[in-house]
Amino acid sequence: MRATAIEQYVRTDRLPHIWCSGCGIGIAMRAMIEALSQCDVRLDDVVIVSGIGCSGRVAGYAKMDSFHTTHGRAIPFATGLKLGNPKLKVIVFSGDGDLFAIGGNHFIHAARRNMDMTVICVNNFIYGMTGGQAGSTTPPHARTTTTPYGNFEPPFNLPHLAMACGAVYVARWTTYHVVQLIQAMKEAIAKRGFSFVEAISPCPTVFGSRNEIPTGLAAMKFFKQNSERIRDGFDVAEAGIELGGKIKVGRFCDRDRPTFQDRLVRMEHEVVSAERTMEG
Amino acid sequence: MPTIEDIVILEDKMYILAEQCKGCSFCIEFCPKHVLVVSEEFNAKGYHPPGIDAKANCSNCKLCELLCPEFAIYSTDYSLRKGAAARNGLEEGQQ
Amino acid sequence: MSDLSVLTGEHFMNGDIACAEGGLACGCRFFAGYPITPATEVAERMARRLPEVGGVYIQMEDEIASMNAILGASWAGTFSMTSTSGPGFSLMMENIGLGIMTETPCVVVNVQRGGPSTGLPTLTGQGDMMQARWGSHGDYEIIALAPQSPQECFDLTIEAFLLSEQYRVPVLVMSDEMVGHMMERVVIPPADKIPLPVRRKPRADKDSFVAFAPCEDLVPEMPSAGDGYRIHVTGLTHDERGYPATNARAHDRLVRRLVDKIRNNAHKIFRLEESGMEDAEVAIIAYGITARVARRAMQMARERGIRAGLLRLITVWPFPEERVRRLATQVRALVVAELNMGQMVREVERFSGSTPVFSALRPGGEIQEPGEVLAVIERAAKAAAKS
Repeated sequence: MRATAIEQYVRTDRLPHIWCSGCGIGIAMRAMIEALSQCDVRLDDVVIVSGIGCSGRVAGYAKMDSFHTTHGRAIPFATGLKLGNPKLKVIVFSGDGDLFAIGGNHFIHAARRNMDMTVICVNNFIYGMTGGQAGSTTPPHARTTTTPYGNFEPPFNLPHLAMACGAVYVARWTTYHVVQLIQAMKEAIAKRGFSFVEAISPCPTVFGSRNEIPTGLAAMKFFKQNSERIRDGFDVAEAGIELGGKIKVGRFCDRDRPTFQDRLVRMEHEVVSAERTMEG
Repeated sequence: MPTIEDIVILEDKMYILAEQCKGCSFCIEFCPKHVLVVSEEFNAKGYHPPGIDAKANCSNCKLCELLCPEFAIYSTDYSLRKGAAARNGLEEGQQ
Repeated sequence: MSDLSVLTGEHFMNGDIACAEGGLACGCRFFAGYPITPATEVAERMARRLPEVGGVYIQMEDEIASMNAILGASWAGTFSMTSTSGPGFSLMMENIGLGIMTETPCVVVNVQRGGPSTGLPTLTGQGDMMQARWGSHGDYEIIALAPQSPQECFDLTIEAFLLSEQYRVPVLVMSDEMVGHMMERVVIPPADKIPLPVRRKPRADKDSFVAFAPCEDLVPEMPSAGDGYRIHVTGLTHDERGYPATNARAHDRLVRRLVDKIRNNAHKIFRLEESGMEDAEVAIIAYGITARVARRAMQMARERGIRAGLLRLITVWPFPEERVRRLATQVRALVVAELNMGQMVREVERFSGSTPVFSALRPGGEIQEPGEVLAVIERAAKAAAKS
């Protein structure tokens, strides 16, 4: 993709963006753009919905119809968009705190319903925008501003959660694995139903600096050395992430289920044919 | 918004929006051909944008482009590089 | 629009059902809600009727999700509404604010019940009136309508859609359990007599359209997602392009416009009903179900020789400040009757000048007896006579 091609996808009048040196959100955004450029989709039909947090700022830089909504509420807003105009290609792009702490309830229900949308979660294990508080994906023992003695809560295993709730496509890569991330996002966007891509990212400023990963580069090197691609038959329950441990990456599932709309349309046909039967 | 003046051209191989660079070094570290190095220049924010190792051979894999979180680096098409006119047998669209 | 969306004819239906039918009649095709007494019937009616007219009903996981879903559907170009009661109304507040900040048209029906907290789920109240005005954080203006009958539930839900599109703001229909659950005659007119809300689409082409540049009435034109305008919509303070502009100057510009958008147009938004005002010495101000009690009390007062009149607020917000200020100079006393511990009475007091204000209040559960309101009218008349 050439520099001028970026113009189609990015509000270059707002660059440079606000993300820190060494942050991976820009890479995840770039991957989404590359994936879109390879998908058979009209950019006018694409809508980006984000929540609050550093990752949520992607909506402001994306040159598609984009909605920067309230904390945790991107998914229900996206649901309204999709059901209001089913031709829209809806992508939710947000962070781990926004999607899984405050937004957790909305995630599980949209996955349960198999709402047709793609959710991209940039997981940097922290609440970055507000200065580095622990969140629902923060690994055990991590130091954060609200876990000054080390995090003692167990984190979510996001691929496990997504699959258990009914997501039809689940993948995880790190921002180091940008080529694979692009491919995963492309598959997720093309997939009918609720698809989920977790993009593990550095956050040197407020997470890494407190946990012996002082630069984005150090984090990216760590991702390169410590990622393990899963094999077929991998038990997603084993995909949890520990500080300093191996990161399981790859495609966890790709399956088919009727979407919310499939079921809605089927029900509507039944309503209409029942009416016709009554009239006749 | 970047303009023509913001573009720094490294040899004939890369062009960089130097003022957008935040010095993360991802492009430098992960280039498979070790084409990029930390330069002595700085931009207005005090970051060192990448420089180029003149002896190295950029294979145009574009990994730097994809890994740059700032959308600030692009490798040039082979057809635009020095000596391209002299290269025979270059297929249409080959980059 | 299919025939089924307008059930032309005379019906015997309750207020909740009438709200749903009002929405359907004027083009609402998306409802996202959550069950809550005494509003559940609105959702249930929509669940049954929306598939008949090609719309979508979805029961969301909570009221927060419901409010967000109707905002999203509105941006997709679909007229959308939700319904709830006090506890759900509280949950919706943050995102009513998002709707205000992003200027998203939609309708929220609050069938009020006794509060605070879980309160009296099955019994009436009017305790959310100030919350309707101030419930979300920050400065803004809102439009809120108070139906007093199932017929008005039908009519005012349509009015709410018209106003929400005209002013690009969520509009609240402040119903209550008694009006919501009472069954009365509701006349639904023929489809060609039903006013349809009109969304103002951009006239400029895609390259020159400025997303939040206001027209003369301070309301910007509104494209839908997918129209190709590639707009950015954010809850952050933003400039006219819609881009985040988190500085004092941009904030001043935006917030003033959002407030003035309603204030400057308030004279076109007010709906009031006055009875017996020509010679009134005591004016009763009431709204919703309590206005019906107040009307009976007014008649009883007249029978006892007190010249009482009734100002019924159909639009509760924006509050008709000028009308009340003038009214205060025309009568000798004001009486406010409401089912709360004194909410709209505070607004009346702000504009009553030196005219004394009396109140007939109950915190909900039961409506007042007309005799209770009459007693306050008599006290007001006596005090007025002395002065």
